[in-house]
Amino acid sequence: MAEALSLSEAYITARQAWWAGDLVYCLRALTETGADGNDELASHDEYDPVRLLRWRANQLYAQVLRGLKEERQPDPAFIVETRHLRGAFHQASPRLFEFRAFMRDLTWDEELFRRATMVAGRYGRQVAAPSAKYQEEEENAGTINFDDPELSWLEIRDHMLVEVSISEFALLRAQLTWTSHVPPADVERIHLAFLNVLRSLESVR
Amino acid sequence: MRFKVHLLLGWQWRNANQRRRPCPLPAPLLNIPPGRIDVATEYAGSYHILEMGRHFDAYSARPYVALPYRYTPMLPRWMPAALMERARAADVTGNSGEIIAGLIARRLFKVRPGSLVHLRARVDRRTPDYVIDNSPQLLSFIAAFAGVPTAGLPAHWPIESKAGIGLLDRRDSEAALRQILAYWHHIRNRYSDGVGYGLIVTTELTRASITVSVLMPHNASHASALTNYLRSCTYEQIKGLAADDLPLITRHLRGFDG
Repeated sequence: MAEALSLSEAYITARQAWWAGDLVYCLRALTETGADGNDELASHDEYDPVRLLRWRANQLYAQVLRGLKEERQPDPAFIVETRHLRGAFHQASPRLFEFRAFMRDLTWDEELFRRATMVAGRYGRQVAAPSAKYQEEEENAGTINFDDPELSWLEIRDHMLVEVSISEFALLRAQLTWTSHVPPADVERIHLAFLNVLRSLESVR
Repeated sequence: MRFKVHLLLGWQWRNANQRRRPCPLPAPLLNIPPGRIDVATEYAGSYHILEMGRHFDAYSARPYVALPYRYTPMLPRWMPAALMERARAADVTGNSGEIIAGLIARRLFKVRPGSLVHLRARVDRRTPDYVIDNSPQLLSFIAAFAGVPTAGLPAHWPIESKAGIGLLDRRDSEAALRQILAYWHHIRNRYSDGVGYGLIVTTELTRASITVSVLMPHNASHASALTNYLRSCTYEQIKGLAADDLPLITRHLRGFDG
């Protein structure tokens, strides 16, 4: 977080880090908003959008502190980070791992979507063709289609099946299913698999 | 699932039970694959629902079939109504609306992820679902749609969503308006430039229809009159405003015909 972020960007980065389960980064982003956990604004009757954000940031700050006290921050081995992206993963079941990542710099959003479209293209698009009914409606009504690039893909390699999708909010979620009878021996292989997902987005041109 | 999106200034009604008039603009189509809903819900949905995309897909389908129970004719006199089907859960439907409002902001208004702030309601106060923070794309879109200069539009817009299975009626839109109204009341003194402006996104799942109502005052004097009215009221008075009194608010807004 080299540059000072605007209030809304810092708050949203914090919210996204919270979603990913990365409390340490969430706290760091909240510090940029000036939040200190003081919930004094809750008793106020008047707001403006900035004050509303500050109030929410303070609430989240208090929540994060509670989470850290309860030791809910993932172990560093479960944090995956590249230049523009960062996330955390956890083990949902013996052979299922879930990874959630967010942008460290929200101004990178257009680049993320562009690159995700390219990576998805490399792995093969999986969009179902529109039904005949909708195609017909579209042609008759002279409708406008929203730009809707495919932002999900599937990677299969080394006993791992990794499903990646990126939402409108520029959040990345990947699920890794370990397909061998023998469970993974260490967390490094899983970490590396998720790191490769982020690296593929960083390196594609 | 593909949804037709209708854009309206305010809302128009023929009478209380009839559908609003169609938008004169060509209806854009919004494609919403279930996979997109999953991640968006985890981030911005108020309710904790796993695999929301599958719910969304099933709830949008018509006819809706949710694992119907096989009827076993035992003790017929004691079974006045065998459970033959399952209903959609209202909170899951509501979650869909919340997510779709976010998608509309992202795709239709090109609001960047860093400018779309998802809010959570205070226990004692109504709050809209989102506030858009400084989105030039939104302002250009609204200005072109409503035929007004961007200079007069506020930088922050609240968005409220409503979702239902079939046809939504006036009460649903009024309920959404009340959320926005509470926001206007909160900002009446500290950010009066934003009073009168907002977006209501109404989703009718089985009709594959989304209506975006753009709220804005007729002009500066109406905006000022609305602000003064809000300043003269307590929050409780605004919250308890009867349906018949809503014209006290809507007469200051464009696109309302009663």
